[in-house]
Amino acid sequence: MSHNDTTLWQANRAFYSRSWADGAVLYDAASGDTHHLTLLALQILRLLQNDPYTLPALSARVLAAEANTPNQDTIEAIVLNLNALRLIEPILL
Amino acid sequence: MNVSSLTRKELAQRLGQDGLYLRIGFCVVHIRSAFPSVAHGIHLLYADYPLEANDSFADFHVSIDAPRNLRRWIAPQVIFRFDQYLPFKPLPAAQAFALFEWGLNWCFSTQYHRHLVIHGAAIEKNGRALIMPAPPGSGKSTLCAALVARGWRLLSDELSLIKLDVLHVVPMCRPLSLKNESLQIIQDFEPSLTFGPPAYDTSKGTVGHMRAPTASVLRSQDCATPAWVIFPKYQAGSAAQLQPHAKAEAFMKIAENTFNYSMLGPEGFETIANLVDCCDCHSFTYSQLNEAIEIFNALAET
Repeated sequence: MSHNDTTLWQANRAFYSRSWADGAVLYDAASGDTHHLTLLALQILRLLQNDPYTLPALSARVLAAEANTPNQDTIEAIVLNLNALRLIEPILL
Repeated sequence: MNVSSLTRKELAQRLGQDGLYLRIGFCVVHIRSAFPSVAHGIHLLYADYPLEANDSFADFHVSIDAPRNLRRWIAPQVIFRFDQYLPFKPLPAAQAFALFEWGLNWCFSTQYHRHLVIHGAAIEKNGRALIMPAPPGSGKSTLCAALVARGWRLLSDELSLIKLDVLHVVPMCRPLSLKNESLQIIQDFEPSLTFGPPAYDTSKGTVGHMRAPTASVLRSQDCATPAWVIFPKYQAGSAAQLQPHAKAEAFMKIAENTFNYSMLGPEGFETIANLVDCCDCHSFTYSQLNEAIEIFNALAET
């Protein structure tokens, strides 16, 4: 399935997470999988738990909040990785 | 009443008849066996352990028996039974006591889900516990045996038990299992230690069991607060080196070394996360036991 700038992404599952200065871990109760994430990936996941975002809107939100401004390619790569891990999904319109 | 209150003959008789209700920390194991080597091993290595009355509640009912097959006449074998279930294939009879120990490890690692069960040693000093999760071959038992021989309390050698609600390390103090070169290294390191007869040609090579210190056995119901998680690695010729370990990565390593992490689900996740939160995490490489002990003792004083 291809995605574009108008694709809305969401995380609609229950997760357990814990973060430290060097990274984060997340337990996906639905699959039983545990993931080792960057802090940025966890931040993006939490944003997508609260509201669905398109990639440009998500990037703008993250770039506004992050002191160590990641570039848009990094954010897109994280979104695609989270999707591959089935932690987020595109909303089918 | 302790195991040492029985003569070896009385112990062998009880094991061969109604069985022995042996208390190991918070757990009672009902053991039956007609093998003299099992009676000898228990008499020697479990001398300080309390015995419960016959027909007490037992967490595990196990037996070490001879299978009824034709091989008993030419190459005798031994089997381990857990509630009449046979988790392992038969082994040579000479490995009877080792099979008893491995069988108990299997019971705790596959059945004891009231605690988080980490594959790793746990020791204690000044009320604080140090947990060493590690895969086989990392040198964890050798290091643990040396530290215990130099005054650290043994909480457990093979399996660390963590209480799910209050995050205490629960003692499960049993004989330490040492393999191949480690046996001689520890015997040379502290000649006063007591060892059971080694089992040769096992799937792990030569395996011997070291008696846990009496002081540790007597405190088998005193839990300890976790303070350190250390990932040990024996590396020939290396200087002892203790380095801080990233916490998220430490979480993943602990989870990989936890037998019932998946079984416990979110509770397992939260328990390991709390453990990582409250502990300093380090990786540790070593080749010389005296260097290692110096570093660990200094850590205990911080």
